[in-house]
Amino acid sequence: MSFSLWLALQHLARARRSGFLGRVSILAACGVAVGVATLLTVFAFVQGFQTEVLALLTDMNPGVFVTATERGALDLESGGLDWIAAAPGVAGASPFIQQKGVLTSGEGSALRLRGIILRGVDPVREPAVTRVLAACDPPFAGFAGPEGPGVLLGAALAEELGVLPGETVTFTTLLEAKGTERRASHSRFFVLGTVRTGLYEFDRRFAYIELGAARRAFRAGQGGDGLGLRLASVEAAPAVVALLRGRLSPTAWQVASWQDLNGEIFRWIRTMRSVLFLALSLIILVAGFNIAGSMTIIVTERSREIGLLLALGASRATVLAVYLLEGWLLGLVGVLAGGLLGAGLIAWFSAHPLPLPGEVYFIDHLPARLTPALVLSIAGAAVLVAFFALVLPGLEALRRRPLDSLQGEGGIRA
Amino acid sequence: MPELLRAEGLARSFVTAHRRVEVLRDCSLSLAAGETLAIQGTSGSGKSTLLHILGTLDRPDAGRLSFAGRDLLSASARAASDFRRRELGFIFQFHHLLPEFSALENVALPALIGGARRAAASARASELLAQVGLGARSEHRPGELSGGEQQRVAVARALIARPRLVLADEPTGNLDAGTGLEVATLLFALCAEAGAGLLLVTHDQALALRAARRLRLADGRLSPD
Repeated sequence: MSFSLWLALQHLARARRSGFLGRVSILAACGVAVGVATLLTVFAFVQGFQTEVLALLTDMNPGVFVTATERGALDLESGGLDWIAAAPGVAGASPFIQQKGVLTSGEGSALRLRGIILRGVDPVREPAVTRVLAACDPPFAGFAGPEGPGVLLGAALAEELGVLPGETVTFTTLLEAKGTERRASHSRFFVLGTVRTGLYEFDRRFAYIELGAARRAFRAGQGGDGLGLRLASVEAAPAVVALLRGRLSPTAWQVASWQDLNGEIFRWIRTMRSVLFLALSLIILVAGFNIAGSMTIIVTERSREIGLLLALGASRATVLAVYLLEGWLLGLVGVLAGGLLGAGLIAWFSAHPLPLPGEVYFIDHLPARLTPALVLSIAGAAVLVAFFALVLPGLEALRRRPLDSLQGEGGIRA
Repeated sequence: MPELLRAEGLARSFVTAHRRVEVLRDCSLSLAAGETLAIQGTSGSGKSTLLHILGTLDRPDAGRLSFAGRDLLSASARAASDFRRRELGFIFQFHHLLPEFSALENVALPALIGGARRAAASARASELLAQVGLGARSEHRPGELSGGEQQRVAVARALIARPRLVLADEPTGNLDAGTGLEVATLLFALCAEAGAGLLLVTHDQALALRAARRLRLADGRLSPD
């Protein structure tokens, strides 16, 4: 171990004994620790939020939609599109029919209506693509209602419409039959239960019926509007989309991934992340200035020691290295302490997630998630800032002359 | 004995309050290996300034300085550091020990700066502390030692790198007469034992009389005492 590192370690190890300087050192390390802990915690929330939203979006909705431009054009009997389910990156496929419209409940003054998307799903194949049917309350037991077709309502939608299982709702939409004008179509469904996906927008805008009932209600013949696909991994979306667009006729089929459909959410998250990073980087900068200030005090207070080291034959480079290493080690101690503090806070918030207003933030709780890349980038940034913060005190140490430093007590006089 | 230190025509002035004070004028001296030399002078006569120039801690405005035939004033800062580390031992009036470190660590400091292994430096420091009568106090910090003991630690520190020359600035100036006498006896004895030259500056006549040769510094000029 070099002399500089030895002396820097000795200074830190004896910080408690050295009174004022010890307190200055400990406070500087605390400043870095608080900065690092804050950054870790905030970014763990941002990361957790993004991961949770993404997981729900691809768990409660297909990762890729292959939609026919013509109603009911998906021919399930011919098996012509079976290759899609077996394509690389695709983990499952299920047909759907989807129609926008208005769902109403009650009558007269109690009438309530909401604009929704009604999706017809295949109860056998859907679990291979989404977990919607597993998120039902009461547990899903088929789409048959007591006197006709049943519907599952998003939990927030059911609340807004004020309906309970066993009651009926009416779906009204405008349908276009070949060669005719658009006409209103009314379908009555029995409410079987609710679906709570965890994504507020989904729970407020979606209702689910059986694929066969959708075919009848929306005149889709024996087919479907398209296929919903589950991806082997969320990152596979661009490759799968490119493959499908390459093999399917663009006039007959539209292919869209979770990224295409939710681009705004993720752009918003990215923007939020950048703004937070810029704002919170200031915390690390403040901690850096804190170290710089503390080291300037330490260098000033230790000027006699610097003078002595120079008089005893230490080179200026050795003296500079002592104080750079001391400050850098101080920063490192702060980063480690901040890492532990941050990890503790994140563990606590993981066990006790903060509630969120779902109508504003898509999800109703704030998960915290820590990734090694996040920890490394924050720790690396803090160590780097601590290092650069030491330039000024380092120059201060270099300016000391053995005589100036040792003259204090009259040890050296003219 | 071969010549160790040679100074010729050293001059040094300081500017204070719009006035130039000529502290040293045309000072010349030489010291042979293992020789003891005392420079006497009143307070403020410039003897410390001379000592610092001889120890390369300060630079003269004019003059020449060499050690064992090697010019010291043309040396780089790095070479001057190497010179101080290898060839010199310093003793100050105020011991200037590091307060957070033990007596043993303080004595070992110059050896550690020189890149010695910690075990070897500690062994040599223990040996020197035993020689100055502080073998049992090696783990004590300066604050736990008396003034005389602290200065004895400083003497041991000055000798750890086996220097060829020890420069002492009022080594007993801060001690009572009895303790000063003990420290001075120890300093002369250890330098003689190590074969190191000793150049000390003092205003204490009794201490100066212990040296083989004496010079007096007055009005910035050196003259035989």
